Amino acid sequence: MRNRKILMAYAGAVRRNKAVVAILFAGLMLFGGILSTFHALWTNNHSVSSSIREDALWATYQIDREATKFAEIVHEAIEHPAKASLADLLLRFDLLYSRHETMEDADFPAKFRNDPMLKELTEDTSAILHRLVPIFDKMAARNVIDPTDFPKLLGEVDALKAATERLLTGTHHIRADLQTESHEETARIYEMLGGAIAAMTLALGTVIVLIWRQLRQLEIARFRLQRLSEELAQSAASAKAGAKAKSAFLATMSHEIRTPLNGIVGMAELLAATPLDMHQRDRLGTIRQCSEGLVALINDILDFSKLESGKIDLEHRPMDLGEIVDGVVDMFAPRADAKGIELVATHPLGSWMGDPTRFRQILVNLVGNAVKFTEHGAVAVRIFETRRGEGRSGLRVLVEDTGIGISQENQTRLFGEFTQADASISRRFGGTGLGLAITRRIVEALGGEVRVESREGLGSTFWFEIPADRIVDDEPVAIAPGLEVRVEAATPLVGSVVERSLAQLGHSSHRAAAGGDRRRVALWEASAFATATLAGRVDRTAEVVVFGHGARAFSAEAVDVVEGALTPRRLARLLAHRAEGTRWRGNPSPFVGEAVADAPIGSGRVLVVEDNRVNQTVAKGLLERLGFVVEVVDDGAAAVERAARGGLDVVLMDMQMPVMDGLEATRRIRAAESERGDARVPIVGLTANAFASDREACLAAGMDDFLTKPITRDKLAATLAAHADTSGEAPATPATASDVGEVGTDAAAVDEAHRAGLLDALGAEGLAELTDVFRQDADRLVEEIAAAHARGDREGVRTALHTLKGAAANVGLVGVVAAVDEVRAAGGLDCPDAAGRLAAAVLRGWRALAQAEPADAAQSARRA
Amino acid sequence: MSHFFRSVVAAALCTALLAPAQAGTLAPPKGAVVLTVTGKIATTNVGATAQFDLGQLSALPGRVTETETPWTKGKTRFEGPLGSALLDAVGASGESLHVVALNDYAVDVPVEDFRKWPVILAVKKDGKPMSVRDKGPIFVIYPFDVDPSLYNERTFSRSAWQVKSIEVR
Repeated sequence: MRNRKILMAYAGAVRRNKAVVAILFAGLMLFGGILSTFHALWTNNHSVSSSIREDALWATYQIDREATKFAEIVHEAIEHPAKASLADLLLRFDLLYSRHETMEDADFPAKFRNDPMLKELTEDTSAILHRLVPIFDKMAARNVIDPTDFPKLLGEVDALKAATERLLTGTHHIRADLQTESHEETARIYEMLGGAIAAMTLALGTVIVLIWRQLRQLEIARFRLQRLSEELAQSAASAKAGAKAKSAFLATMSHEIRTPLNGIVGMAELLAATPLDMHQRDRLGTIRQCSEGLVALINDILDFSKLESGKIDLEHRPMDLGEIVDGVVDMFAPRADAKGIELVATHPLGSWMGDPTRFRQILVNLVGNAVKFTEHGAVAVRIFETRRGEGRSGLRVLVEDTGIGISQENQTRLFGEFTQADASISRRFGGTGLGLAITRRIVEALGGEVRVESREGLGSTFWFEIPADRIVDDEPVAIAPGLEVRVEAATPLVGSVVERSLAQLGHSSHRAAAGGDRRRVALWEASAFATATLAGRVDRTAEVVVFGHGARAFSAEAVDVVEGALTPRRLARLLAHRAEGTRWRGNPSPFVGEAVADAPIGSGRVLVVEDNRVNQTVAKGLLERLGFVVEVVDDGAAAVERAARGGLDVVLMDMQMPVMDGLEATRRIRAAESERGDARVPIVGLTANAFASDREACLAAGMDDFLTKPITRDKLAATLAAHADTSGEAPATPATASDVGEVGTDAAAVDEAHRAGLLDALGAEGLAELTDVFRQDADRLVEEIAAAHARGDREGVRTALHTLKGAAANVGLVGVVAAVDEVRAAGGLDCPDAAGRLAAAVLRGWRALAQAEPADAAQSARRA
Repeated sequence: MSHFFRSVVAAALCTALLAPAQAGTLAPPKGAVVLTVTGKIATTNVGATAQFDLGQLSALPGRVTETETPWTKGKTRFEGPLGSALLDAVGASGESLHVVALNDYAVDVPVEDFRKWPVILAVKKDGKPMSVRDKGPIFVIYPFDVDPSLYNERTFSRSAWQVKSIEVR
């Protein structure tokens, strides 16, 4: 094939060379033709100009004529001597003689000059004339005609006459020859010219033919290229169609698998709420674990197939590192706790532009792996901001563990598809092996890279770096001043991470050393504290705070404890409490608390729109346990009909249904509401997965939120709580709603530490005045947001949100700050109940302030 | 060339000097008449014609033309009055000259030729008067030395010899 191509290329080159040679040849011919034509014309012209000679025929004719006239006059004189005039006779002779002279001297063509006969005749004529000269000279001298000369004269004259006649005919013949020759010469020149012109014509024709061929070949090449591109486009289209078919197949399959799976998960949830004996609960736990594993597996496969087909929807919006990191470590805190390993994180505080969903996904994959493969020690997440030049920044994320490690050989194929370090690991730890392949693809899609460094038996460090620009308008986080903080960690990894977090908060070690009369705080890792207590090495002059796995056990010995993963945000919170002298007892892993799980959170009416019987039962069961009144319909059309009657607090809408799908139903419900002027009922979509495209579709159709299947009690509770604010029939106590509404974010309404700082700086009166100003501003801003929202003024919403956030941060109303972030995360204008949410957050803030005020007052009194 | 210019200047000077004396008048010939001019002429001396002997012709402004001709061997020196001087002498006003030779050979020469080129009516060849046997007494010589393009058959046919009369038409 390759040889053939080369041959063809060579043949093409030869053809092209031939064409070049032909053009060259034709050009030379053309040139030669022009030269020869020029030469022929020039030669002809030259011969014409050089052939300008006296006309020999005319001269001979003249001499013959003169000879005849002379003969006549001589005969006349002989016959009538009396009448004869000597002068006439002499003149005739002189004229004849002059003609003869001309014959001798004139410049005739060579042909005449060299003809022997003509030469002889001319000489004869000349001889006769010369013999006559003395006779006429004698007559002239004597001035008389002498009759004795007549006989001689007569003979000579007749001979002369005969000679001139022959001269004339001879000259005529030669002239005829000459003319013929001249014609032949002319014909020859015309032939040459014709030949030259023919050659030129041929050459010109060749050039034209070659140019035409060249043009035709160009045209053919163009046509071929076009056909090729069409073929390519066709094959690309069919390939695309194939990929689409594959995606569609996967989507359908996963939907088909999910539906029964959701049933299993939901039913297991319901079953767990019933009285069970220990074995039953144990087996139910296994069922739940298995089905959750299955859900994760299907999600991975679906995710990977989407990434594979290049259908990765990247977002570009603010992401709060603290929020993401806290969420991820919380997710794995129970697992880490169960294994007895520490989980810590450190990162710079603030927000960056990026894709929070994808960033979180990568982090979940890496931290999940690290926790999975670590039996003792710790897993640490460290995030650094990097400079990428030209004012751009990036984030470098390291996930370190003290786990089993990965051999050099295995590291190379770690990020491939469906591979784990080796088969035995797969059996021991489970998993699809897709996690790292997905991670790599996402990181690359985000414009970054992922690497691993590991030593078998010592642990692994996975790190990735992506471009991300810091959002400069983020307010600096309050630092708790006046404290000298020391870290006492059992594991060096944990120690260094916590030290770094402290540094982020402005507590560098040398600064701590500089302070003399500062209050001292010792941060003890639980295991280190246990050891130190046994050895009696605990420094009791410092306030003892215990953190990490098992910290709660030391509640009695310590001034405060932080159970679970310590992150910069939690450290800040802890230090703020220390500065206040209050106890926080941070427990950032709320979703394991059984007490919370059983509490009903709502009393509203929820419409479940779902075609699948099992899912209907699950949703109904879960919602009823949460305290809601539940109605169920089978499809979108029925939902539209039911919504028209009103009285609903929330609608849970499945996306894929027969008759009318969820998006269409939502659009119709929204249209009907605006037509009637009714309030918007919150609609929560139930989607198959968490891709941006699905969420965008939900929000675009008019939904307020979405839930990823399978639905669990926790997810349902969190989502419904977020939308309970707008129901009007608020849950029994605002405090409960607030707690549940911020599940996983552990946000409080008020930043006590910040307010304490303000109180120090401004005094009680100043703080009250500042709060009052904000109270007025906040009401106005919320109204502005509502108005801008109604107008569809995106910029207006954005500006007002920014102002509100800044103002709220000033007075320490972090609940409002969080609500603004939430609204921003939901896309500002695209967040349907933005104003409602913000108003609720502001209200919660006032309540919290009202409760805290006596404490503020008391504190200010004490300090004063 | 310089020779030609000198000749022309000399001719022009002669014309300028002699013109007033000859204007309107022409003396009758003293010797043998060699040229008779007839036709549209203003100045006459014998009846309606202007007749010249060799002396009169030689007295007219002339020129020496040294050239090759188809009828002579090598370079020949011709000498004689300028055609234009003759026309001025007779006060010619026609367009064409009908030149007739002793043997009754006749040819029409445009007056323009005499005005455009210094054509002479040669009366001497190589310093000697020309006999009839030697194409005399008058030979119309075009200045081939001045303009080589004159060397063609048309000029040859106009170069009449043994000229005896000219009719101005």
